[in-house]
Amino acid sequence: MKYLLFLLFPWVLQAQNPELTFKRLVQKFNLVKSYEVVATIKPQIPLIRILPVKAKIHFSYPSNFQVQSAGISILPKNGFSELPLLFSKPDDFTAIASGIENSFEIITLLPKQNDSNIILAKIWVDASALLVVKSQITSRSNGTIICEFDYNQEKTWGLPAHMKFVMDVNKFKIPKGLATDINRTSRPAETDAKSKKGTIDVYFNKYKVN
Amino acid sequence: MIFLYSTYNELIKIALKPRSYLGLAAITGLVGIILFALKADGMSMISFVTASFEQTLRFEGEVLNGNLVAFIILQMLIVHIPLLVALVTGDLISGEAAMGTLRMLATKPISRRQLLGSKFLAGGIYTLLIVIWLGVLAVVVGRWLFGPGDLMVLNSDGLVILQENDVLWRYAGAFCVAFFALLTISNLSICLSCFSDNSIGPIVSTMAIILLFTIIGTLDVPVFDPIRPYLFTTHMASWRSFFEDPLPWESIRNSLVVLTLHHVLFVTVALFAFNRKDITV
Repeated sequence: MKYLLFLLFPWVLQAQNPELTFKRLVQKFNLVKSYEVVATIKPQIPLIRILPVKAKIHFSYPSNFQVQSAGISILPKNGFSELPLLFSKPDDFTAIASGIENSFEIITLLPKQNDSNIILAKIWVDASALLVVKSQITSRSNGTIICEFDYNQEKTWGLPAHMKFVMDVNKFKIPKGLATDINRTSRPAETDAKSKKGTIDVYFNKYKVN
Repeated sequence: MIFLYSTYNELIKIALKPRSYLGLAAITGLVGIILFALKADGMSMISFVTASFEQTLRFEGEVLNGNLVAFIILQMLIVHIPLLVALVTGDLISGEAAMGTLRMLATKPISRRQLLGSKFLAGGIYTLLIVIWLGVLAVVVGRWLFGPGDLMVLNSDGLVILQENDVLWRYAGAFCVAFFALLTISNLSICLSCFSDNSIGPIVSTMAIILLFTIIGTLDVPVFDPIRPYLFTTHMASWRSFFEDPLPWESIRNSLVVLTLHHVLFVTVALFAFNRKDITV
């Protein structure tokens, strides 16, 4: 009976409504106007060696992030602000359903304007909890950055407990003239990161949502 | 006891020579210029290093801080300090021979071995003073002007970011190794000084040897690979190893062994030459 119904009315199969899901996500995002959180940043990037760093992150609507760390910390360029920026201008994007993966809806967001910095965005959404679990944003300025989200107590606000950024580090090159070790007695290994991925894990705790 | 008196006399002689202050003045002037340049436009210099990373990443926090400034100063000046050391130590014996005071000195109740030993010691103390002065200007003044912070170091195998509380002991270690390396220059120039009767010869010879060995060391030609590890200039920059993570103890130990062998060689050759030196001419 069920199959007969699908044959007669095939649009019933199209359960994904990307525009509606995106709209609901934006509504949830708009609930939080500002927050403060303590973050632990753990970069694992080829050619860069750094210990985890604690930082305080202030967010204010729509996409302003201020990072205060005691020492030097490394973050993806605009990595925090790209998704909020996208959510703050929902009318600038067209949401297209791109299937379902592990029970998460995949929504592709295409910019309506040709000169938009974001070229293409893909988000994996837990439609029942209205949470973005993964994003893949390709922009003119930063290339493609993949981000995976894990949630904990603050998932009612859509605020993650952990974000994992994955980025290409193919472009990283050590300026040879500046890094000459004259005391090196053996030939150094190839220093350019070829076809390598770098990851930055950011763990959030002690959210103060305003 | 007479050895200590002789060393004291040598130190007084060094202190009374105007050229001894040339090194300290040169370091002060050069560090002043570097500090001014970094204060005025340091970020552009740093972005030159981080440019390829900043296409994808963002560095948060004070990258340009006193620790980085001190590292830049060390990197820039440690190459030139051998000249300032040799300027004084290369003159310790040949200068006296040229003035004729060596003959008078040798008539004193002190053995030639002790006399030479006191000159080596005085040369070492002068070198230590130069290194301490550089350390004070680079680390203390640098941190005072730019403030403390994490240290970002560019090595040939990547960027290393060291936390602030992990930096000072590395500087202490780096300055000790830098002193040990500069002591090789001091010993070399005193050794060459034993063979000469004019001031300028040992100084120029020391610089020529450093230049030659440095060029051999930096030329990326496989034919020099077997000799490169045994040149003292190869290990002159081993102070940089203190800013790697994890610390390459094996490499530091190897550098110290090679430098020690050079110290022994130069002191032995100098003793041999000075004991047979004709001071009557």
